[in-house]
Amino acid sequence: MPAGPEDVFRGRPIGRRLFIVLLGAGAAGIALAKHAYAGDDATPGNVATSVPVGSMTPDEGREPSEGVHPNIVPPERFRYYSVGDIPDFTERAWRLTVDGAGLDGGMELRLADLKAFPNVAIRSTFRCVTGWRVRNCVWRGVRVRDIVDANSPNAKAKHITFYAGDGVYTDTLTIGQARSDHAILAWELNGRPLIREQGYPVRLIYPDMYGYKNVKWLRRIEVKPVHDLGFWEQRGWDDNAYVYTPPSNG
Amino acid sequence: MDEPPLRLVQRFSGAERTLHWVYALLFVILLLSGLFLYLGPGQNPFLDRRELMRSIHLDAALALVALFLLVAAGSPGTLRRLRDDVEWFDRDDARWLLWVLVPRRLRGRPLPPQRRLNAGQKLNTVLTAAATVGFTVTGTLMWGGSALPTSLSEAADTWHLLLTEAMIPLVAGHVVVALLFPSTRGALRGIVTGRVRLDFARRRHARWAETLEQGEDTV
Repeated sequence: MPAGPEDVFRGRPIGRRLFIVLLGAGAAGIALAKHAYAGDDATPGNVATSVPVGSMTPDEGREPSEGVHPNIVPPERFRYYSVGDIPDFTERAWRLTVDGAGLDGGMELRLADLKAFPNVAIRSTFRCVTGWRVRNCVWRGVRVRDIVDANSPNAKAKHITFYAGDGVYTDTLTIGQARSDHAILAWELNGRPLIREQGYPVRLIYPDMYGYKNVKWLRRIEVKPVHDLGFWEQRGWDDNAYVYTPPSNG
Repeated sequence: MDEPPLRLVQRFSGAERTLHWVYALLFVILLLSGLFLYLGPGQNPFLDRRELMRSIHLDAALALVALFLLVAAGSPGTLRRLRDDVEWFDRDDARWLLWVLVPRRLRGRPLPPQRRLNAGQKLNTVLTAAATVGFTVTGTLMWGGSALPTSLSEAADTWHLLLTEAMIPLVAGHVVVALLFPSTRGALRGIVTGRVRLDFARRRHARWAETLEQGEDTV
């Protein structure tokens, strides 16, 4: 229909249309992103899946370089955080102490000793509480519960405090959380040893919870009757850092 | 005889200025508190105040929604007028957008005459309004967090961040034009006091100035 004189003077009614188009584009963007992430909904049942040990070989991943995670979706990359200096362990010098009032035993493990426990591998998404995430991480390690059970846990074994080798950072899990199939002490990511920033030689991986629970550069595992607050929890962060609606029994 | 050059005319009402400045204040609070929720160790001096930052961010977001509800309830004409101002784009607006970044000496002629809001301000208003709705929707989905499928809350998180990255240059450009460009600085008086000099209105908003002189425009 030809425009009348008033229409010519006023122009075209574009503002509201542009607004609605932008909202539509935004809604479509969210729907597309949701679709892209759909296979990765975190629930207690699927937050991690077991995969055959050795199923990720180094050749499948990109060449590792300092600070860059091999074999990841391009926009997804780890951001490495540390509250203290990054420790510079060698395999020869590193030891892991397992002790505490919740154990009748106790041990000090070299990396080779740790690797002698039954190896497991899990595929999971690593989620940081600040919002970034890295999908399809395959971690190789040993279950925390296998280490605990090898040290004769007693009735006082209620909580575990994990100590980082920087001498500053700690975090905790309940014994129930630590006995999960996917609470592991990992030394390998996607077929390669962890890089220093990632926690070399060994870090805790518990994909049910945000990354700050996943202590790097592990030096000590203390099994005890009392609950300590971790480094960030002492500063007000959630102790139950689940990435999904937590189970009612915590 | 010409009008005295210092004659002032009303450009923005009290409700419009309140909307603008409270929105600006809340935007800065949201941006900073959001930044301190987003940055990690080594970059963030407020990591040990994460809960406080989260409360500030959520309260400021609620205040932003309340601001629009209050203006809509208390001064419905304000939002209606804003909507009418940004609704129509004509050839002068298109030409204005085309030429505005070209220096005057290369352009060789003044920019096309504009109404109370020029084409850039109209576009900025529409983009800001759409982004505000986007922030509100994605923020609500993120706030729903663990009660929603992670694919939805993470999709919302991705777009909340992208919107922030898109809004920062838009707001930065708005502030630079308002504060630093001598030729447009006259507009700052309007959004602070509500009134601008008539000679500024004639120079930068000639079609609006015409309606003023014909007595058709009242705020």
